[in-house]
Amino acid sequence: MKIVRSLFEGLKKARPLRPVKPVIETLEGILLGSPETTAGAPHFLDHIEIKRYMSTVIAAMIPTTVAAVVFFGWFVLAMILCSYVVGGIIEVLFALIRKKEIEEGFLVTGLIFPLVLPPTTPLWVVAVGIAFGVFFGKEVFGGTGRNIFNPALVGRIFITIAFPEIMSATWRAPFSDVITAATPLAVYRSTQGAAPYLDLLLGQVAGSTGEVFRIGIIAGALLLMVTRVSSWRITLSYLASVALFAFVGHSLGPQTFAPPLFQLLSGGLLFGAVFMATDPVTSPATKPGKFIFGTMCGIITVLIRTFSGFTEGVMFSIVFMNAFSPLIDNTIVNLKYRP
Amino acid sequence: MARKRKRVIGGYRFARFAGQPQPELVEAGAAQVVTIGLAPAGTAPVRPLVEQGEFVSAGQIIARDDETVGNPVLASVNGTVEDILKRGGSGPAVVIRSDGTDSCRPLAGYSAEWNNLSSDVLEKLMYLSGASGCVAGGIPTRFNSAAIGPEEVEHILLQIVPAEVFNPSISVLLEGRDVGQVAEGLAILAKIMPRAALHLVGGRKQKLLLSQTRQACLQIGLDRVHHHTLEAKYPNHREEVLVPAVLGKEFPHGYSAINLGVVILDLQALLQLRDAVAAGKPAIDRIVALAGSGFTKRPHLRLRIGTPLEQVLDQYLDRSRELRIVGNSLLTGDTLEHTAQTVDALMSALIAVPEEKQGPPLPFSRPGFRSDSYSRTFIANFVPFTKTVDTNIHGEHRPCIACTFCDNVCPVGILPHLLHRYVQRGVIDETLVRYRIFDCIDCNLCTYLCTSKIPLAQLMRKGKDSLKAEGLDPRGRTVHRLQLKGFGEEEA
Repeated sequence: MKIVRSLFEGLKKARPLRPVKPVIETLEGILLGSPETTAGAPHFLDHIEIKRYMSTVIAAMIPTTVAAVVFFGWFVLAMILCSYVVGGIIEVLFALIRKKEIEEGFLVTGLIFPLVLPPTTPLWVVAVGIAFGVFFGKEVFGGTGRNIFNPALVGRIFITIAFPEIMSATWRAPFSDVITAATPLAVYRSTQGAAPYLDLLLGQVAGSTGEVFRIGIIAGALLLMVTRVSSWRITLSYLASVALFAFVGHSLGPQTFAPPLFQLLSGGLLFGAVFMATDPVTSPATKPGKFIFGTMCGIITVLIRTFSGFTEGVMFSIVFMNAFSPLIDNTIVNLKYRP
Repeated sequence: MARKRKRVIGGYRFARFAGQPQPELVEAGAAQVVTIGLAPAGTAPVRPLVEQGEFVSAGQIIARDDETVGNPVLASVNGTVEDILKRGGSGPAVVIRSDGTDSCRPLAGYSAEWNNLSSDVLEKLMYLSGASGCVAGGIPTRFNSAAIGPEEVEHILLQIVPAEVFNPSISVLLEGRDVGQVAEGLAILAKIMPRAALHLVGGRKQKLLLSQTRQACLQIGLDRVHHHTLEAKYPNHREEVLVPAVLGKEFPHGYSAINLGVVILDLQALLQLRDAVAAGKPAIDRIVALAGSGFTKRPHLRLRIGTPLEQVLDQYLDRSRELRIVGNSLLTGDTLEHTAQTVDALMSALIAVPEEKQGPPLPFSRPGFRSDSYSRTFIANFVPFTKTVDTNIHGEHRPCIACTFCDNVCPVGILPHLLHRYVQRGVIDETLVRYRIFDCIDCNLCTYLCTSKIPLAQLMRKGKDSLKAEGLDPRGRTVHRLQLKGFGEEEA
């Protein structure tokens, strides 16, 4: 261990390596523990840290990630690698420009992004999307902690609009090479026929790589809630509002609204509600704010699914509500602390 | 009159930490040289009454000032005044070289039948024994020992909530006694503070002790005693939490419970009061718990006030490691340079924890069998292993990601994550006052569990200081609104 430590000390002091110092420091932070002690009271600190926090989110995504590779083949792994490499380069470049360490939030963004893409997305589109998302979704705002929109969703929306034919026409069912071109939501819209719930739960339907294995997503959700890493308030209020709105809608107009359980188990809803709406940076921080955020996301999702030209509304609803997060928080805080 | 547990917001339970004090009491006897501070518990220094070379006996008053609020300072050993320091390690102090005897003369006028003594005598005994100074802010007597007089006291709270990481053992404090003596202490206070209601506050595990104490109180005819159970969460033992939780009163932030007419004391202080009155024993020693993995043995020590820490610690410290010595609390206590510091009248625990200048490799991937965390991301949250303490920060400084752990645990319901952003950006104005930054009680819990290792409490202190400098301190209004006591006409 001592050898590694002195190696890093040497690398940090080396003059030619000065421009890449943030990278060295990041590596040191990952491999070695923190060299810092508390300055005074409190004399000891909680063991949680950003790396642990983000690792927990990644751990929660493992079931659905593994399932994605199993269902759709090694190409998914290539998409994930592509996302990490391209996004990582941009992240590192910005760290070098800012002369700050590389921020861990990217580890989550880089994995979420390929998981919300159709399994047939060409790698160059993955690269363009993650580059756009990291650059315009995060770095221009000043990096992790300062961004307004979920970077993975910014990238996803960009490529949805830029390459509509790739992003909406080429779906593929698990364990099959046949391009079906229809997700359960799209099928429902044209035929009013809902896919079997068991198939939806186990991911035996067409959809984005990471969104189909819903049992795995539910397991991840439980991990995130038990570890307190994500807010159950957002996830549950999101799902509850979708269920309630769909129930009311379906009772009044069964031809227009899909049934509530089908809505819950189709599309990117579970993935979005568990891994994306809960991003602490871009969602409200106040407890009532989280409920409002989740509820509004749910209402917008059902509205888009039912009345718009798009069959899925999860990503739009989350990004739309991201924009309102500061306003929601501000309102709640001002109500709580009235002058 | 068992009252229902009140709802307390926030807080965090420091459970199962390794290095708890062992339930064993060691009588350390008189030290050879003691250095007794003349500015106890952050009060203004009192004038020494002795001169260099003078012989003093244990329990003799060596400094006293009846004009300002304060308590007398007592010699803790028999011996000769060696020096009077204007500026010792921590303010002015008297240095006494012991003559080697352990004896201590009892106070004049005490009686085991204290019930027959008048309030006047009781108060005098409490004051002259120094026992009225064993609580921060002092215990009110007619001798100006606290900001208010005894007749103004409305509530007396005995708190034994084990809310700290390391808590002195109650059984050691009660060694050789029965709850009857606790009841006596309460009865003495009740006699000199006739208007006051008595409250016993403990954690769930102290329920039995509290109800036994109440029974003992009833037996000696003391019937205005309530008992309350609070969760053993940090900082539920602090007056800022106790007053709202137990009495349902708003706490005057920036002031003390005493300004509301509330006296809060711990078990050790109560027993010292009782011993002064019923046994004539001056408050010249403290039971100090040794805690933390930096000690090889962790007994409770009975130490004379003024005993140099160096002498005490030498035989218990684990010299093979670099250690940090902290007084009383790991969350709020000061780092003690044990070569210079001595035991003071408010010391209850000495904590030694390893200085860990290098954390373990690949920290984020470790299972964490012994790692404490508010987040439940470590195995230690789910298995009953003991947890360890060291001074490493266990992570890297990062910008706030609004995980809101700090908001969830804040015991006064403010939003540290929001307030720190304002201070960090230098936007320090009335908005922060409106967001109740002055409610912050400096418990440091937010800093403890910050995911991004941001010194939240420190930033909020900075914000408060800037606001005070700008004259935006709202405390002045509190005095009238809550009708606080203990201010002269001109101050109010």
